[in-house]
Amino acid sequence: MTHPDDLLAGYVDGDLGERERAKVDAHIATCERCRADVRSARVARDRLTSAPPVETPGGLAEEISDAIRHEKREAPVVEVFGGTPTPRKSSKPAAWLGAIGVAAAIVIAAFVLKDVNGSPSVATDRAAGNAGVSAPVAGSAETSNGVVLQPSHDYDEAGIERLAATAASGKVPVPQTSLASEDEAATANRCLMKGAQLRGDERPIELIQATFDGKPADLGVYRLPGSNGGPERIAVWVVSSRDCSVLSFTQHLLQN
Amino acid sequence: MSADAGAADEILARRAADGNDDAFAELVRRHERRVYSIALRMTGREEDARDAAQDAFVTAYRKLSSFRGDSAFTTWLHRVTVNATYDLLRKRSRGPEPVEDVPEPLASDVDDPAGRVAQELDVREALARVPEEYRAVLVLRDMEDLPIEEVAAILGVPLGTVKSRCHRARVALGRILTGEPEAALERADASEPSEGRSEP
Repeated sequence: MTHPDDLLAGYVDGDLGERERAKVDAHIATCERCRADVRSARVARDRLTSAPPVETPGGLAEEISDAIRHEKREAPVVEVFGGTPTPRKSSKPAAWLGAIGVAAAIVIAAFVLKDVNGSPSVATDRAAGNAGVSAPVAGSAETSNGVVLQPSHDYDEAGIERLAATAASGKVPVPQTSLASEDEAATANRCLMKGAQLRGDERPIELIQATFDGKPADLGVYRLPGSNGGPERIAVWVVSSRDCSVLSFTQHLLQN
Repeated sequence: MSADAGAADEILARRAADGNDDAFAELVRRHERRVYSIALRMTGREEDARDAAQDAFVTAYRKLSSFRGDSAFTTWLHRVTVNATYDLLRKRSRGPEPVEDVPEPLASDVDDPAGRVAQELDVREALARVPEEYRAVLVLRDMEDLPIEEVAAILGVPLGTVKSRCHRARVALGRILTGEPEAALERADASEPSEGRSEP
């Protein structure tokens, strides 16, 4: 005997059409097992449906928000040039990136910006020939494996050195991030330009808004042309977000 | 949920995928109640429910770009939530811990507040003894009052399978609640027949 299990839930719910209900009625009239099952199912359904609603505990949304921020800080390695990248898609490149030129093929800027509540949020923008497309870019001198960056933590001198060394080895740190507004990006860039007195021939590899020794700071990682035909360099400037004064600086020769 | 709410969810999800964290915060605000509720009923413990709800939203955040609007956002989010509870329960290699000091059930008067509490604890404990895949059907269908079609979409199994699973899960739970010998529930899997059941 085949038992109409697929109809019995609807039967208990009172959801069956007349024909199906008659079919089940006819079946359980002769099937003690299904009759007993329907009785048990009704007990369960009645008890489950009369369970009181769950109260959402206070502070859950904040915990989730904290977990998301943590997730961003611990953003996994984004394999920009060799793996499967999963960064946020950007809808448009930041305006200041326009000047850099698509020929450079790879321009990645990441910002960790404070939102209105003072909590950090991360944003990235990329123009990899085709804005928003995170496909690997082959054949560029700058291509390399991805490397982890935790941009919202507090940097110190050693952290700046590590940042510069990473960039100098041809790697580009790309946190898994979301898009900063053009205004925020432009503000950070202006502060770096002003504080570091950039000349304009520096190519930004990464821009980060974070803290340095506890103070709100903008960090810029740039690729500079070599002087007098020398090798290209990676420079990292750190300026105060408050007054754009230089807090730190280091540079490394770019390793080819 | 109204069509407007669904459309708003999808707009928010798209904005969040583009990096708008306020949009994601709004999605959390809108859906934390249901997500937590599913998580609590699946795990049976408040602490686990918080963890699972958090995991669910973090996973949703990470995978937002894979939400393509093929299903309603809530269907997708609830699938992520159920999977988060499975992961959490497996990670801890245990089901919900049995609730201690449960008074003898069923004789209680439902008008008696103490009796209600006892009954609630009893359901929670009984649910813990139902395999996860079956528990999920009971939680979504009978406790969260979602349509059976929605439950099938969330769990990603055919409608007929979910209907059968719902019935068998209810039978098993009903027997636990009434102290009858428990009905055997085989682990649900993809090869489970979706229609009927044959007498051995």
